[in-house]
Amino acid sequence: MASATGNGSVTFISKVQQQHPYLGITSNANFGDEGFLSTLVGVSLSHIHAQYDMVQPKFVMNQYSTFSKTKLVIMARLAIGYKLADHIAIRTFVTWRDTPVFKINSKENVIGKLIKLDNSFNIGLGLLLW
Amino acid sequence: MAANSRYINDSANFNASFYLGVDAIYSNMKFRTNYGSNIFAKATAGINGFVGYMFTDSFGWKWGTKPKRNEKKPRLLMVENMLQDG
Repeated sequence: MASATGNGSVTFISKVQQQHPYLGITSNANFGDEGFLSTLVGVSLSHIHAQYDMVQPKFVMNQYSTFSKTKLVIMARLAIGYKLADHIAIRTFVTWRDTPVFKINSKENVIGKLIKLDNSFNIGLGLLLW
Repeated sequence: MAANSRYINDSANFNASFYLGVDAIYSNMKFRTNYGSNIFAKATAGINGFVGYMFTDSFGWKWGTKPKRNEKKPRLLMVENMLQDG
């Protein structure tokens, strides 16, 4: 494990948890023999939990910070699907979420007091059953 | 609904447009510079489940969530600038 160095750098152990249950309005359009295009606009109840530990801080202070917040976030998704069989389709998609609304203060309120998120994008691959 | 439709909104298929599914997701969620970008990982991967219902041929609602929290494994890194004060 790396340690603090003489040039002012610090070692962190960090982790991020995120959860985005969502509800949205979707629209579909068919193309080709088996393909379909799907869009979704909705909101997600997004929860972000982040924390870090300073392993060997240069200065003597609290080494642990936690950031946690839940917000409603606007989202949009574009998906392209392909029907494999009568009740099965495969799809791939890209999702955007308005996560810049997240500005989270540290619960411990010490070294790092604030984190901010930028826009987030997801890509995915999945199966549809009906 | 079109009787000859072969797609997810086909009323001849499962219960007139109910559907469900599962996705593997790669998420890119960046932190802003000096507000966590040098400390936290921006990419995570996870699984998402969803259900939906089509009101018409083209419109419906969808609900989805992850079956459990997507926890990023701890990462170890060196940084030279900490977070800015709020």
